[in-house]
Formats: sequence, C-alpha cells, structure tokens
Amino acid sequence: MSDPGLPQPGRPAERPKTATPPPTTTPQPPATTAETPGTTARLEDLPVDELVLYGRELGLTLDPRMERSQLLLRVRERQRLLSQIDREALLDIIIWARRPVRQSSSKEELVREIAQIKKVDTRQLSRRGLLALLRLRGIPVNGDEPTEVLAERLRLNEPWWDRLVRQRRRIVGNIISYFVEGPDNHQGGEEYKFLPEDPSHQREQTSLRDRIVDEGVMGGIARRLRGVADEYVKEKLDEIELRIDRKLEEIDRRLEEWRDREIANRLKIIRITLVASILVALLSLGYSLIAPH
Amino acid sequence: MWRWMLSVIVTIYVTVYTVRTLWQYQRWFRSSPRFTVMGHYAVVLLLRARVRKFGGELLKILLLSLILAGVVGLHWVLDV
Repeated sequence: MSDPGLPQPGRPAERPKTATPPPTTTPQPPATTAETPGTTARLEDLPVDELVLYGRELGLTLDPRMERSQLLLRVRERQRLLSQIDREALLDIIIWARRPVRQSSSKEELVREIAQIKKVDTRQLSRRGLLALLRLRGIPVNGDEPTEVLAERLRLNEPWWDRLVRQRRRIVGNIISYFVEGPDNHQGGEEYKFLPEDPSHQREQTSLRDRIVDEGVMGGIARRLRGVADEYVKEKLDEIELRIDRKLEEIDRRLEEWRDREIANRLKIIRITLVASILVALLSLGYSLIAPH
Repeated sequence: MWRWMLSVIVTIYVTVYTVRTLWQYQRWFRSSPRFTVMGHYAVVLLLRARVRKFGGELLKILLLSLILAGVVGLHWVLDV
C-alpha cells in the first residue's frame, strides 16, 4: 500500500521530490523554552484556542474549558520537560516510528511528530528513546527500571480504544497487503532516512565573503550568481509541480465522484430488488393463505 | 418445494457468478505491471469511500432485508 506512485488516503497528491514539511495551521510556536522573559510574554499573549492547539501539538491532552492559568502552567511544564530531554533521544523515537523529519529539526518539531505516534511496540527503540517517550506521555519513570518494565508500562498506558483500533488496522493491513503485494512480498527493515535538508537554508549559511575566501573573487561571485539562477529554476519547477499536483487532485476528485455515483447506483439496484422480492413474497404469502380455502 | 429449489439454484448461481467476476478482475489486474498499479489505485479509491455517505441508503436496505426476512419467516410459520 505504500506505493509512492499512488495517492495516499487523505493526501491525494504527494510531492516526493520536494522535501518541504507539510504546512501546519498551528500558531507560531512561542519559543523552544519557557525560561526567557520574552517567550513568557508571547505565550501569555496567545488566545486560549491557540494555546490549546499549541499544547496539543506538544503532546498534551488539554481541554479548552480549562482555566487559562492552568493551560499556561501545563504548556510551560511541557516546555521545561522538553528542555530536559536529550535531542538525540527524540531522534531515536523519530527513527523508531519512521516519521518524516529533517535531522536539523528543532525539538518542538520533533515533539510535534512524536505526539502523533500511537505505536507501542518498543522492540526497536533505544532505552533513552523509551525513557523520553514515557516522559512525554506523562508516564512516571525513575530511570533505573529495566527496559522490559518500561515497555510494559507504555503498553499498559495505551487507551483500550487505541488498542482496539490498532488491532483492527493490523488485521486489515495483513489482508490488504496479502492481496495487493502478494503473500511473499514483505518489504520491511529498510534503513530510515531523514528528509533532505533545505538547500536554500544551507546556502544562506555561507556568506559571499566566505565564498570569496574559499573560491576566489570570480569563483565566489559566479557561484553566488549560479545559486540565484538555481533558485529561479527551482521556483519555476515548483510552480510546474504545483500545477501538476492540482491536475492530479482534479483527476482524483473526479474519480471519487464517479466511485460515489457507482456505489449509489448499485445500492439503489439492491433496494429495488429487495422491494420486488418483498412484493413477490407478500403475493406468495397471500396465495398460501387463500389456496387451501 | 419448488420455492426451496428455486432459492437454492439462485443462490448457487449468484455465488458462482460473483466468485467468477472477482477472479476475473484479479487476473486482469495481475496481467501487467500497468494494470497492477491500476488495481492498487482502485483498492485505495475503494478504501477511501466513506460508508457514512451512503448511510441512508444502507439503512433502507437493512430495513427492507428485515422486512423480507419477516415475510419469509411468516411463510415458514404458516407452513407449520
């Protein structure tokens, strides 16, 4: 089912070439830590709904009816926890769950991805990652427990509904992969790769002066100009890609409309058949009642 | 007796016809890589269909099925 050529459910058109992360409707994260006074002020300025949204993206379970002070406290606690957790441990979790991020992503971006992880099978997860995951999910840990105990604690903390959904998806996944990929085609174990870094970001880091120092006046300027030209070409390619995406989405939408029409027609035929069957059955019943007399 | 015979024959016919159609579709989708991709897309397209969208129609079908079952049940009761 993970054929890159196929549109994924909910994501009709993927763009595998561009590595830009999906746009989020989140408010801009106030900052990475809550210690700085500026950050505190900005966090307090956020309206309640955005505060709740931001807290949820950090993996918190927040109720919009909670008091503002309580919300702020929870978010600040989470930010404090983030500052304590090692970034490498977060990357371990990301690799274990195979979430698409850049290696240079900030802690908040990593936690945003981790908040969406429902997986509980921690066999491939490092100990530091497991500890970080437990702390992020609000499960109490001392840090000296055996790994098996920690894994069991994580498993027991999973809500029963999530467990039920996971089991259902596992069964459905097995059935569909059997029919689509065949009985022997179990692809897995492929090494995880981070998303490629943004090239414009890398380019910005190297100043013109550094370039001239490294490559000479002509070489440095030429490289800089080539960079601008590359940027222009990239922009144009992105535009073309967007147009293609829009076309694909249009095709996808039309196919969905056709599918819905087809299903509705089939259901209508079934309904008419049932009505006819009921009428015949009633006639037959009437005949059975009248015939003996 | 003839009703019983008719229902058995129709059930067998429908089963054989459905299985044969599904088998033919599967064979066609596996006949070339291009058709295999189409098959994958068809599966994805079908999985993305929302049952809730056809809820009203499905409910009617369920009710009609119950009525049919009731009428057929009445046949049995009256025969006894």
